[in-house]
Formats: sequence, C-alpha cells, structure tokens
Amino acid sequence: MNLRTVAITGAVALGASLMIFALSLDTRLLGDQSGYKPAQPIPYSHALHAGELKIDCLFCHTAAETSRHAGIPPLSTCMKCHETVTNKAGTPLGKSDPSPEIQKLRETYTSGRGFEWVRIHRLPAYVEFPHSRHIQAGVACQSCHGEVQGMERVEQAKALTMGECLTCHREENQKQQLAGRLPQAPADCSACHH
Amino acid sequence: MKTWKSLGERRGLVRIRKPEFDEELPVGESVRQISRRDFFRFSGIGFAAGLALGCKSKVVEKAMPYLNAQEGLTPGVAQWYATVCGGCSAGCGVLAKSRDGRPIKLEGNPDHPVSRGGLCAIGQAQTRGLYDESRLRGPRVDGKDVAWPELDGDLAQRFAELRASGAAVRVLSGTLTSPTLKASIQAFLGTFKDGRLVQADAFSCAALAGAYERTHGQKLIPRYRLEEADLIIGIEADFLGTWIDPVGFTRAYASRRGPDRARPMSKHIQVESGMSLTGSNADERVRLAPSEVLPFLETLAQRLGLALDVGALSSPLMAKAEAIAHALEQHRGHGLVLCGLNDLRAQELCARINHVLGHEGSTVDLANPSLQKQGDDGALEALVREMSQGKVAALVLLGSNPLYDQPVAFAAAFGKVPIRISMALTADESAAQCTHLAPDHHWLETWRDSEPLTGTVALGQPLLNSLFNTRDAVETFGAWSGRPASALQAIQNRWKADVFPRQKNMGDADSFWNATLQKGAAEVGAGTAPRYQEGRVEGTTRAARTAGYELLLYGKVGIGDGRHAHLPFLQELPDPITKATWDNYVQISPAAAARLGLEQGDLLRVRPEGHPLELELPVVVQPGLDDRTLAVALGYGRTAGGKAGLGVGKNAYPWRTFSTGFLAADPAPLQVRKGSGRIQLACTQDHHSLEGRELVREMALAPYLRDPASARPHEPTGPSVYGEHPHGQHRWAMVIDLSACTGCSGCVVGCQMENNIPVVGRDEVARKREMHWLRIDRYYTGSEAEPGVVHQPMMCQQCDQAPCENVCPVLATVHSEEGLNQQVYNRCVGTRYCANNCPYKVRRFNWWEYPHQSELERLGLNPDVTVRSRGVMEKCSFCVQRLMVAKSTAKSEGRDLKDGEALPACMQSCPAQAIVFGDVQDPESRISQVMRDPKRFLVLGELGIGPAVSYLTKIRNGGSISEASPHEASRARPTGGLAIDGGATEAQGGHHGA
Repeated sequence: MNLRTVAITGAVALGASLMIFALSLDTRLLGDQSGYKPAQPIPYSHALHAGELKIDCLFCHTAAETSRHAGIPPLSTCMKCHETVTNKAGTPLGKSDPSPEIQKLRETYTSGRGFEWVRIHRLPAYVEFPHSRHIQAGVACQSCHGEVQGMERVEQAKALTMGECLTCHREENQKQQLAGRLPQAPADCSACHH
Repeated sequence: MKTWKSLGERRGLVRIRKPEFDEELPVGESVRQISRRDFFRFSGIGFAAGLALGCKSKVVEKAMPYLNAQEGLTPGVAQWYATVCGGCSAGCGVLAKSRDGRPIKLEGNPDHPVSRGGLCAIGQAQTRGLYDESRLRGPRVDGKDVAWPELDGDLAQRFAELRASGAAVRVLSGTLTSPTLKASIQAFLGTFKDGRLVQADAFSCAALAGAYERTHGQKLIPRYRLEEADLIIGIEADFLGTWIDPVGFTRAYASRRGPDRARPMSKHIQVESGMSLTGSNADERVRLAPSEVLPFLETLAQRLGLALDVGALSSPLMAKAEAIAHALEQHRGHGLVLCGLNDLRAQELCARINHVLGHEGSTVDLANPSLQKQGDDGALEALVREMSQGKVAALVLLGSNPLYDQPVAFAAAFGKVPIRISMALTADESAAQCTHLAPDHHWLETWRDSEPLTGTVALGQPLLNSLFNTRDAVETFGAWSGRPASALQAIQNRWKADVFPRQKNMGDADSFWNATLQKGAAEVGAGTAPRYQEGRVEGTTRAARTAGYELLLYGKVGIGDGRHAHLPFLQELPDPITKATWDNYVQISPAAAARLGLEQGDLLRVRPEGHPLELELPVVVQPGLDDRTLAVALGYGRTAGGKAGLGVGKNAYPWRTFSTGFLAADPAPLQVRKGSGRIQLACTQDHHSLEGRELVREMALAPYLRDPASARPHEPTGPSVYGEHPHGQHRWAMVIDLSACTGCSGCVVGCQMENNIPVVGRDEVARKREMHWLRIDRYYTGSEAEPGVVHQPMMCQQCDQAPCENVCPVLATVHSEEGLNQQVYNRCVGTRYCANNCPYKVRRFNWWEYPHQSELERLGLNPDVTVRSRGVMEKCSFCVQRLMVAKSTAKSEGRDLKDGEALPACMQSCPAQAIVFGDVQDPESRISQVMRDPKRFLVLGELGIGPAVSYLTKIRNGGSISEASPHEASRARPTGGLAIDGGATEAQGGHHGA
C-alpha cells in the first residue's frame, strides 16, 4: 500500500464520517428550512398586528390574491398607519410613549432606502407556487405558514416540500370527488415545474 | 422516397445508418490520467464533503420590497402594453409583456391593421436588443464619454457657426414612419439655411416609388392587398420574407391559401432567379437569370397590350411569359403583379400592367399608400456627391449605418464631413467614424408615433425608463434646435393638431388618444387615389445575357439588412431554405455546381467584373436556383456594433452600385474561381434526419375540390401497445396547416424568447446541438432543378403513448392528464435515452452550461420558465406556463376556460395563422373542428404513438400535377416535378371565376 492510496482512503473515511456526523445532527431533507427564524431589520411583530390587532393578512400582503407572490408590503403600506401611530403598543390614549422601532421605520421610509428583509420562506428550487390560486380556492395562509398571528418573530413552520403539497392536493381532490365534483387541485408535474 | 431534405440525401450520399458517435467521445485528458477506481475514490470524498456541508448551510437571501407601491404594478403579474415594433420600418403592432418592470416578450397585436397579430423573427428578438451588452452607455465626443449638456454645448457652438455661415447640414436616416420624429428633424434642419433630410433604405424601394411618379404623378408605394388577389405574380419580390411589409403580406396571403377558406384559394406564380422564401411557397416557379427579368417583364407587358420595345428572350421563357399573360387576362381585375427589382423601367412596367389589368382599386390600393419605404436613392447619391465635394458641414446619422451598407463611395466621402454625428444604439461601423455619438433610446424605451400606411396611425409607448444614459431622438433634435420638449409632449401636440381632426369617430382629443394608446392603432380618413397618366415607358430595353454567371443579392429572413446582426438569436435562426446558420455563402444551382466541380462548403472566389472587391465564400448548392445565378445574402460581415455579428460571413453591400440611378447589385458578369479549401457550414439541414419516411403530404387543389375525402390518409394509424391514458378536464392538441405555413420562422424565435432557449453558437450547431424546441423542416419534392418546397414546423408531438416516457430511468418525462409529455428538469439526470427513442428528434440536450452571466442580458429571461442547466434534457412543453396562466385566470374569474384563451407562443404570433391549438375535449372548440378535416394527417402515424400534433396536407394550386391521370391524382401524395404551362394555368382559372 503506497502513501497515496492511504491518503485517499483516509480522505474517503473522513468524508463519510463527516457526512454521518452531519446527518446525526440534522435528519431533515436537503433544503428543508423549517424552524428558520432569523432576526429582521426591525422586530416587526405579526403577533401584535395580525393577532392582537386582527389586521387581515391580505391588508398588507395584497398581491397574494392576484399574483404568484404574496409580496412583502412596500413601506408605504406601513406608513398608512404609522404616519400617525408612533407610540408603543398599549400606550393609553392621549399619552405619548414613542417607539424607537417605529421611529426607525419612519426614518428609513423618508430616507428612501427601505429595509433589507431576510427571506424566510423559500421553496425548493425549480418550482412555481402561485399564491393567488390557493387564496382564491380558500386555502388559509396558516396551512403552509403556520400560526403566524401568534409569532412575535416569524419562523418557517413547515418544511414546504413536494410531499406536503401533494398530500394536501390529494386530500382536496378526494373531498371534491366524494362530493361528486371534478378534482380541482392538479397533480401533474408541469403544473408546478415548468 | 419522393421527398428529400438535401441533395446529399437525394443522391444517397448521406449514410442512412450513421456511426453512433460522429466524433471521438469527449473524454478529457485529465480524466485519462487517473484510473477509474481513483476517480471514484476522489468523487466519494467530494460527495461526502458536499453532503456534510449541504446539511448545515443556510443561504441567507434578502428581500427588498418597493418603498412605495407602484400603481398598476403587482410583483409577479404581467402587464401588457400596445406599442409599435421598431425592428424595421414596416411598423407592425406589438403587445409587449412586462414583468416587474422589464419587457420580456413581444407578441403580435391583433388590433393593429398592419400586422393583425403577426410578428416576424426579427420582431420577436427585439427585447434582446434592449438588453444588449454592446449598447452605448451614453453620449461621446471624439471617443470620450461625456454628459449630455457637454455634448449639447459643444454642438450648440458648432451649429451656431454653421447657422451663421449657411453651410449645409444633412440628416441621413432610414425610413421614418414617425411623423413627429420627422417633424422634429425638419424643425432642427429649418434652423439652418441649407438643411435637408435624406432617407435611404438598405433594402431600397426607391424605383417603385419613382415609377408611380411617372405613371400617376406622385411618388408613392401602393398598399398591396394580397387578400383580394386571385392570382399573384411575384417577380423577384420576396414579399413573404423581406420586401416592404412581410408580416402584413404574409397575413393577407395566407388568408387565401388553402381550399377551405372563406374565399377561393389564390394562385401564386413566382418568377425569380434565387430561391426565396416567397418562391418556396409559390404554386409554380419560373427560374431565370437576373438579366432576363427585365425582358421577361417587357414580354409580359407587351402581351398584355402595352406598346414598347422588347428585349430578346429565350423561347421557353417567352412561352412562360405568354402563359402568365394569359392567366392574368383570365383574372383581370383580381390579379396582382409585384416586382421587387430596384429598377425604374421594371417597376414602371409593373405599375402599368397593374393599371391596364384593372388591379388598381382592388388589389393595388393607391388611396392609402404605404409609407414603409421612403428611402430615396437619388437623394442619397446627391448626398454622396455633395459630401465628396466637401460641401456638407455636418451629417447626422439616425437609424442608418451607411459605412456598412452603402457603396464604398460613401465611406470615402464621409471623411470629408467635419461634424459627423451618430444616434445609433451601438458603436456600429459608421458610429466608429463619427465625431459625436448621441445614442437614441431603444424603441421599447420611447414614446413614438407611427403612420406605416396612409390613414393608419399608431402609438408606441415606453415599457421602462431608459436603461442607459441615452436620449430620445425627438428630444435630442429639440435640444439642438433650441426648442426642447419631451417626446411625449411633442407627440401629443402633433396628434391634437394634425391626427385628431382627421378622424370622425371620437368627439374629443383625449378620448381618441387614450383609445388609440390602449388599442395600439387607429384608422383615420383615407385619401384619394392619384390619376393614371399615359406615357412612354422609361428607359430602353436591356438585352438578357445568355452566358456567364450573374449576381443576385438578397436578404435573409432572420438577418434582414444586417442591422440586427449582433443579435445571436437571429444569427442562429436557420435560413428557411438553406437551413444554414451563422454565415452567408454563395448559393449555386446543382447543375452549375456540377459544372464547376463544387460541393457544399467549398470556397469560391467571386467578383463582379471590374469591381475591386473579391469575396471568398463557401458554396451552398441550392436546388431551384437559376443555373446562371450566384446568390449572396446581404447583412453579414459586420465589423462593429456587437460581438455576435463580428466576423460572421462577408459583407456583400459594396457590390451594389448606383449605375442605373437606383441601388442595385452590380450588373457586371461575375468572375468566378475556386478558392482554397472548404469549410463546414453550420447547417441544420441533415440533422435529425428522418430516414426517408413520408413525413409531409402534398396534394393539388383540383382533385381535392373534386373529392375532399380523397385527402384522407389511406395508411391506417398503427396499433398502440399500451392502453389509453385517462384524461382530465382538458386534452391539448395542435394542428398545423401546411398550406398556410410559409416557413417564415417567426415562431422559432418567439419560442426561444418565451422559453429561455439558449443560443449555442456556430461550432455547436455544426455538432448538431442546436437547442431550438421548434424547428421548421424543409422538404423538397420533384427534381433538383425545379423542386417544390414544403415547410413543416416540427416540435414535440406530445405523443399519447410517448416512446420517450417508457425509457426514462428516473421518471423525468411523464404523461400529464391533459395529454402533455412533461419534462421535469429537476429529475433529469441526462441519460439522453429519451432523445434516442424519440422518432421526431425534437428533444434537446444541454451539453453545456450556456452563458447567462451577463446581468443585463438576464433581464430578458422569462421568469415563468426554468433556465435549464448542463446535463438536462428539454423540449417543447406546449408553453405549459401559458396554459397554467390561462387556466388560473379562468378559475379566478369563476368560469370555464374559453376556446382560444390558452395559446402557445408559436401560435400567438404566427403571421400566417397556420397553427390551431386547443382542447379536444370541448367538441365546439376550433381544434375539434379542425381535427375532423379530411386533410389531417399524423407524422409517423404508423407507429401508433398517438401524437397530439397533426398537420393538414399542403394543397398546391396548379402545376402539372392537376393534369396527372385521375387515378394517381385522386390520392394525396408527394408530388412530382412542377412545370409551369399555360394549359394548367387555364384549367385552374376556371375555379376562380370572380
């Protein structure tokens, strides 16, 4: 056995052990980002806005109904309210307790720069997901995004894998068929991959 | 085997069984130096390490929304705007699709009176001209980048001097169809004592306009109404390919091609020296040498009763001229003679023939003349004279590249002009010699109006702000004449003052503006036709030469006059006839090639006698070409203006002269000598050869009309090995009418734009690795000398029992419940079994990672379609992304999908409307009706694989086939030779009694 072979075998063993080590830490599929919960430029709370204040998802994510993207709202949407609302949440009427984060938002808006949000939900590569069709078919946002209205900081609740898509589509089609209607949720590859 | 794809195949030179690998397997040297086992060991390391890293990595992606919501713009939703194509001067209407603020696709605008929904290959490629790396980034003075005020300041000073001295200032442009732009140029020139606008076209129609000045007292180009013509005689006029208004002509022409149209099928006879796209669609062709065209026309005119001297002509041609004259007499008032020569005598003869036969008012519309070619060769010649005498102080070039496409004399004289300004978008040959560069916007970035036909007005609107520091020509001329105004303001003012009063439908100017902007075009009042003037025909007869080779200069469908030669998509588009890409060449007839001992690819040195320029070009042996004609395409041999065009082909423009007063090919006989060696042309002709099976069907009109059922294929479709697939709500199918398809190739480029199909380059095409999902197969029938041509678009046939699906080991190609053959890119591992098993050879493999590095060029990609990477198979998907959008829209609106709502890109822009697509589950749909047509046949139907694409037999109106014995004629079959003869023409005439 020459040195070269020893080196190569050693390297293979190292590679394999690394792989096993990695898999033992995380048994999820490649690309599965569930649980991803990054910090954002400002600690915007969905729990406050969507949960407590009961602002509808579509009030800010307006494109979800018409586009394949739900869209991150432009800062002008935030400014609809925060033009006047500058206090911290829960400040009694008539009192003044300005929130530094809202201040940051207003400054960023007037500076014309905007925030660089960290993207949380990412589908696996090479797939098309039209939000509009799902919203219009009455699928709740929470079925894929989890209970966002309770999240102080948003995290990816589900793996967003093809298996999850298909399970839902099949269940839906079964329901339709039992009701004597044509299946509406496509299961063809090219419906999402083109 | 009666149809053939190439001479080699016809003569049995192409081996039917090819070796599996044409070249050695591409195993790199580095791989050979290491043993197989070592290779696996090393790759094991890579795999393990990659997996280990892959599990832990989190890609942090940033998302930046708009600061302020944009009115009307929803990210991810396409917006459509009607505008006017600026690819050439035909002025076709387009609907431009914009995604998230960037135009990504152009489609024909069905509401536009010129193109009526069609778009050509050049038009389809225009978005890529917008995102072109070779575009100028801003103004320049003496080669240095400057800011606009600096350029304006410098020029203002110089112009002030010229205004004081009264020196001559000239603007040289191509045809300007924008009245506002023209007015702004005139206003600028009006500030000088001696200012003049010269319009000159590379493909000039000046003689045609000049002829009408002699016959009707007015320089004009008639609007030809091909849809009204029962008999069309094309004389050296490639009206379906490159002449005046190819898209409009194709649309009108195709509306009368086929036996089941609302009006009887027209008959088309083409008289030509080359083998043009138009000629390939003709029912009959007459071959003659370029010098014989004029005597032919003279004979024709004389037989039709015009008094004139007639040049000598060979007796077979004389007989053909007589036969055509006879046919024209039969169709008096409903015929049309078109002549593409830039020769005054020829055009005058043609105009007078159309007059005496009563075509004016029916097929020749003089009340609404075309404004699509306004170039004046006389004015251009005068400009060259002035320049060479040093009389021109400043010359502005707008949409014009004379140093490339004008005779050499121009270049010599150009240097004597002190102030040379170019408004070109790229640093082309002329811009390189200019002192000032003031780049214009791309047409997708500007407001522009257009009047392509008198009485037809259109508006072009910008799809985005200018990408670079360019400026609209209207604004540039405004700034230089001291009256700065925005282009939009200038157009609105002019429309309020001039255009609005001409129309009668709308009460106020704003509604008219808005309606026109939305629709793209409007029709305003028509003029009156000028009166005919009797007169002696201009010029004298020129005897036809009887020996020696003669030069034909022509334009190709993709490259045209060469102004877009820097767009690789157009370079890679196979010529519809020769199927060659990335080159120009000398076309030579098979007989002449045999005489000279030449074969395809051999280099030939050609020079018109006495001309200083000799070009060495490869030979393409072209069936159907006249035996004494050598044809060379213009538009090649660019030396500047963008990477893709550099060094591709040779520039033949210098072979044109003003010797007859109009720009035309040098009439001197050609000196021909063999060059040294040969080159391999990147030709798609023999690729994917289909082994001589009967793939196209053709039939004569008369037997079809006698018994339409006889068109039905007699061969039964083969049995299927498998059972039927279950089908869901829809089942897509396509039918292509071969009688309508002209082979214009607009669909090929449209498909590329829609589906992010890469360009692979000359070498890869030569290795048979072109990526076009949709190709157009060209078949010849009959003899080498006088072949018939059939164009057959060929794409994935979406077989129901697809052979590709059975052999994929990883289920990357599977069947959908809507009848589609799905190709799933992320499953594909690149075994290429599917491509091997595809009988139609329509699958394409990504041999390389095709370049998409340029951030600018990436802006043109369609975000709805995956950009495929190396090692992945791909193919036509029936534009499934467009079907998804249509279905989704219908569902969102709570209704069923309407017929004709979901259309693939190829069908949308087909100028000939040859493609029908739809859902066969809907018995009322157009496709279901067409599926019952007796002319319908399947390609390779005997395999029993149930293709979803079918074709309608090509019906040809006339020729000797109609005289074949009843037994033979009663069946659709590949046809024999097509010889013109008067008897056949007469027999056909009866059918068209108008």
